[in-house]
Amino acid sequence: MSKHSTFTLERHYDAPVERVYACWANPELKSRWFGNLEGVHTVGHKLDFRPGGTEHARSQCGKPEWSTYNATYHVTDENERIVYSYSMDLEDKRMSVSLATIEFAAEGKGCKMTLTEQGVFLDDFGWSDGREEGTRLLLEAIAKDLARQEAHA
Amino acid sequence: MLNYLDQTFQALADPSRRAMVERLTRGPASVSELAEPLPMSLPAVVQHLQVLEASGLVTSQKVGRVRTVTLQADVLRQAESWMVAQRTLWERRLDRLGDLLAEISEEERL
Repeated sequence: MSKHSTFTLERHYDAPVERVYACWANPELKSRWFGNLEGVHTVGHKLDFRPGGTEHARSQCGKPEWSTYNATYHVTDENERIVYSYSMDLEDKRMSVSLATIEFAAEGKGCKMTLTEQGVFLDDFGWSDGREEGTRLLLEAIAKDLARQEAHA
Repeated sequence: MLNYLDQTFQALADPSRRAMVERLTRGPASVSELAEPLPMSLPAVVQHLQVLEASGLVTSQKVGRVRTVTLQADVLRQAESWMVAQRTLWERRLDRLGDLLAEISEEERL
C-alpha cells in the first residue's frame, strides 16, 4: 500500500541568500552538512548540481542496514529555487520517492529558506512495527523539535 | 495524512499530553488514572484529552461512570513513523546547515 505525505519546514539563517544557496550547490559544502549528523554514517556522497544532474549517498543510522539515497535535480535557479526528486532504498528495497523544493528569499540581513517535501511511502518494511516504536519516534521527534525551538528563541 | 502529522505534532507539543500518550502506550486507562500522576485539576486533564482526541491520537469511551481512553495505533503506524522520521531527519539537517553557516563566517573572520 502507498501513503502520501507533505511537510514544509521554514528556517531563517543569519547568512546571505548566496551563501545558503552555495551550501546546497557546492559539493564540498553540501557534504559538510547533509549526511554529517551525529549517529549517521554517510559514505560516497557525490553531487552533480545542475538540471539533469544526480546526487548519491549511502548511509547507516545506528543499524547494520545501509540506506541508499539517489537524487536527480530538475531546477537549479541560482539563489532562488532548487527542485529535485529522490528515492530512498533500505538495502535493496525501495522505501520512498520524494519531490523536494527548496526556496530561498532575503529576509533582513539573512535568508529565509523553505523546504517542502512531497513523498510517497511505498510499502511496509521491517524497521519499525507496532505503535510503541512509532510513539517512541514521535515523542523523540517532538522533543527535538521543542529543544530546537527553545534554542532559537 | 499531511494534516494528521501537523496536528499530531501540535497535540504533542505539551509535556502533560506527552505524559498521557506515554502512559497509553502501555494500554488503555481511565481519565482518573491518567490524571493521577499529573499536577493538575481533573477539568484541566479533560481539556488536554480533548486536544488529543481532536488530533485523532486517542479515543475515549464511557462505560457506566468510567471514561476509558485508548491510544489509536493507526495514527502512529509505520508510514507515519517513517514520515516523522523523515521530517526529524530534515530538522536535524537544517540545524546542521545552520551550524555550518556559522562555521563558515567564523573561518572568514580568522
